[in-house]
Amino acid sequence: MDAVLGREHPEPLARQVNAPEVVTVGGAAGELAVDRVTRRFSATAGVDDVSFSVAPGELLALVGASGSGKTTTLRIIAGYETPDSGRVLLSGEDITRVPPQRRSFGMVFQHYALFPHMSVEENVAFGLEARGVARGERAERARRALAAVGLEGAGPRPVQSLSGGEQQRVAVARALIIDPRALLLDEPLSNLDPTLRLQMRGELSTMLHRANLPAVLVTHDQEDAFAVADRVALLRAGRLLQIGTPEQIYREPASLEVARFIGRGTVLPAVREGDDVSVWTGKTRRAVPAQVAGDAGGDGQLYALLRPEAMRLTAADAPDAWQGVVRTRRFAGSLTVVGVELEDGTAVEVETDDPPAVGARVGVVPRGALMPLFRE
Amino acid sequence: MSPERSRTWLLALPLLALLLWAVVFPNAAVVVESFGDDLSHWREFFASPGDREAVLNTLIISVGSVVAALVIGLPLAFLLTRYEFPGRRILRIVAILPAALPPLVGVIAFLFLYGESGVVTRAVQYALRLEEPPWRLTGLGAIIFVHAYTMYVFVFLFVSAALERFDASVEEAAAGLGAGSVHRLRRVTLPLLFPAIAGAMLLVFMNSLGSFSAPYVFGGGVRVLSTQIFASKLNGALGLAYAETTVLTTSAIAGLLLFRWLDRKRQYVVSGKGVRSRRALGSGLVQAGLMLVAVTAVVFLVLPHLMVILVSFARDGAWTTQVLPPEYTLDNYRQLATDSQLWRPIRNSVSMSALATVANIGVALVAAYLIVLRRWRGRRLLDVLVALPWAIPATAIALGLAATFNRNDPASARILLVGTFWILPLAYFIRNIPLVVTPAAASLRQMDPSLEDAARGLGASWWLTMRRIVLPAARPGLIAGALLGAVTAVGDFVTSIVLYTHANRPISLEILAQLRALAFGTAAAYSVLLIVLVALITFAARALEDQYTPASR
Repeated sequence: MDAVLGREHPEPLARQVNAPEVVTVGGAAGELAVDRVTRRFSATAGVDDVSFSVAPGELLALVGASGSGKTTTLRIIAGYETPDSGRVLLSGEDITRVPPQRRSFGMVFQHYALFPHMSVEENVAFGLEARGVARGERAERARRALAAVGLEGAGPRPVQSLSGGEQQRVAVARALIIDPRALLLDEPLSNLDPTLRLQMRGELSTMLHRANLPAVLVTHDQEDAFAVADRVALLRAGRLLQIGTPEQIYREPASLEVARFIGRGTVLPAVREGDDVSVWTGKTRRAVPAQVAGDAGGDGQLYALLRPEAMRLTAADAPDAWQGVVRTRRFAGSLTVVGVELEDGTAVEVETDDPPAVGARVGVVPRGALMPLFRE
Repeated sequence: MSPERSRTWLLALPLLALLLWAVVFPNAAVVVESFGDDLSHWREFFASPGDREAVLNTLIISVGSVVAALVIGLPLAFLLTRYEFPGRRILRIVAILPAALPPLVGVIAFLFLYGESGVVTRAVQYALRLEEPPWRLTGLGAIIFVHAYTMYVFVFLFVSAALERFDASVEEAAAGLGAGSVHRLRRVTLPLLFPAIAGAMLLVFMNSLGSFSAPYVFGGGVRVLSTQIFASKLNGALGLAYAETTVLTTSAIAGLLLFRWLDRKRQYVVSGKGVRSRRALGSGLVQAGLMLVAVTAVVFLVLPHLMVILVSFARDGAWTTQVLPPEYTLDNYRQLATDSQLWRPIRNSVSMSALATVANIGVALVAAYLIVLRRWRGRRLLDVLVALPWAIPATAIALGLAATFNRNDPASARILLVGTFWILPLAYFIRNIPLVVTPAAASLRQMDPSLEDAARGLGASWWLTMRRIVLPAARPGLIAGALLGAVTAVGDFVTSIVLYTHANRPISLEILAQLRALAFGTAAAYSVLLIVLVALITFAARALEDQYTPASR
């Protein structure tokens, strides 16, 4: 499954990063909560009645396409936007109308928003400068913060001379130096090249967890979210579709919408028969002895989601198999995912360790793996 | 030499020769001749209390105008780009009106409004039952007042443009890190706006340094360098005029270098999105107050234009001690259209600025092409030469031409132009070279240089490539620059007053003559005509721009 998602195992792959010394671990961090927040814009989609909470030491990823309201939600938490209704709470205290400069939240912006006219050290120390910390102490703490993100000696450099990855570390150091009460990150990985991105996934996750603060990360990339977050909140058109651990969201999507958004898979009509489920394509119906998730009952048409790991290939003439032709092959490490076009035109994806050539005739059989069900 | 390189030099040599002859030679001649045989002109200059006063006044006016323009322009730019309040849109449009007023016309409008017998002055005097006018529109204060009105627009436009594309997330980051609004402004916003602010300050400084109209019309005995030069030339003290001109030009170039130095290393790459919604400011009371400010500002800004229009309908000689002109007539306009003597300046201004503009477009296209798209040895030199007229005050340019082309002497590259029709188009052309080259070159820089190679690779001749690739790429800048040049030329007063003859007198000088004859109505009618001409040119240029903007097709 990890291979399908392109998911990495963060801890072993991550380059070891020292916890920034500037952060007081286990300090006065409290739970961050968003309570029934709504914000409407005339032109773009806003946020519609969104609630969730993030515990200290927990990293929540807000995931959605552009216009889903994820960035607006983050900006409401940071205080750059005021919701039309609803509250933002920190340790139970209502901070909805507290201006950003008095929230002490560490924020990492999408393009980092480093001050282009200041040196690296001045950037990192800016939050201390705003708090009236003496120059000498500022320099000392900035140096330590830079060392903590692996940028020893970069202090005097102009920020515009840094690479994208280095700029991001400066942005993180700048956010952490103020002893923030929460960390907010807007698309922190989207400006990095693929290799750096995989590496930073691990580093970010390590750094954020060490800081022991409630952390919220916005991303449009579900793989990033699954790789770094403890919990994932899916947003679409301003509404919260589902919130849960990556495993929950993958295994038990709350709706067809979520299922289609997360991971690959084929949605087929289904009928429930006791513990078994029958799915069909065209006229061919197959009973599958599957573990099922979802389906709270109701009258609508039932659908089953068949992930690539929930099917296998057989010989084209195998009895009971759906007949089809291999159209695509996607190498994913130990496994290959092949796209098969069935006789009735349905496209399914199947995981296999012995991929046939494109154009080969194959049979496809559902196997008894976990199969989420939905009512329309 | 490859055919490519010989073509470059074939284009470059005549252009370099033209610029050396028309721009460098006259101004260098002034400097050289100021030293004369025995430095007597300079001794005269340093001995003259009037000249010492003029240098000091010029400096005070320039610095004062910069400060005044900043004080008005900066807050207005912030207010209009960042906040929403009733009246914002109309104020946004009206705010740039002063720039549309030719220099002399603005000065005259202020005279009609705030002069000793001006409408506002009299209204205040009669309302308060004062014996004397409450103020006199003379002296340094008056000059800085007019400069502030016409030149704050530079600050306003530059800073507004910078604020429109300002990366809002940088300010948000500062706020998130705990910086209050004052700290943010001081440490983040203003430093990032500095390039725009410095650019506008330089423009105001250069314009004030060479300003002639305001000190000339109501300086009231205040000497400045530009009027001193004019007076010395009029008195036949040419040597002294050369020395004064040298001082003025040197100050201008020194100012230019000073600003360049202040602005060094201040080019930042701006990333991120500049969008930021305008915020409604404060409560109902604050909004009402802002609206009041907006209305007052709009009235103040439009008043000079309205005043000139109103006076243009006043019967000449009838307006004496009343607050407003008592009698109105269409005669002023009727006479302009029928009296050939009165029509002549209009024809002169239009034909001379048209000639200058056509020449400017041709030179700018070639210069921009050579500067942006060709790699050759003389590139830096050409770049400096085309920028030079901008660094030299208009009075100095005019004096240089007057001193150089006053006799026929082909051996020393002089031809007789002073006293002929051609001296003014030449002066306009020289002054406007940077105005047209700069935007044309900026347009060409946006073109992918490989387009030219691609066209040549597809078999296009050099000429076809110029016509189909280079010209269209340069066109937006050429049009914008030509507009600016034509507007400057048609309203020119400073160079004209030094170089005109009765036969080629432009509108501005006729306005001055009518004012002297106390024919306020006729002077105002000319002024309105000048404003209409400027509006027509602007409109035509906009229409052309729209036609050639790919997005609008």
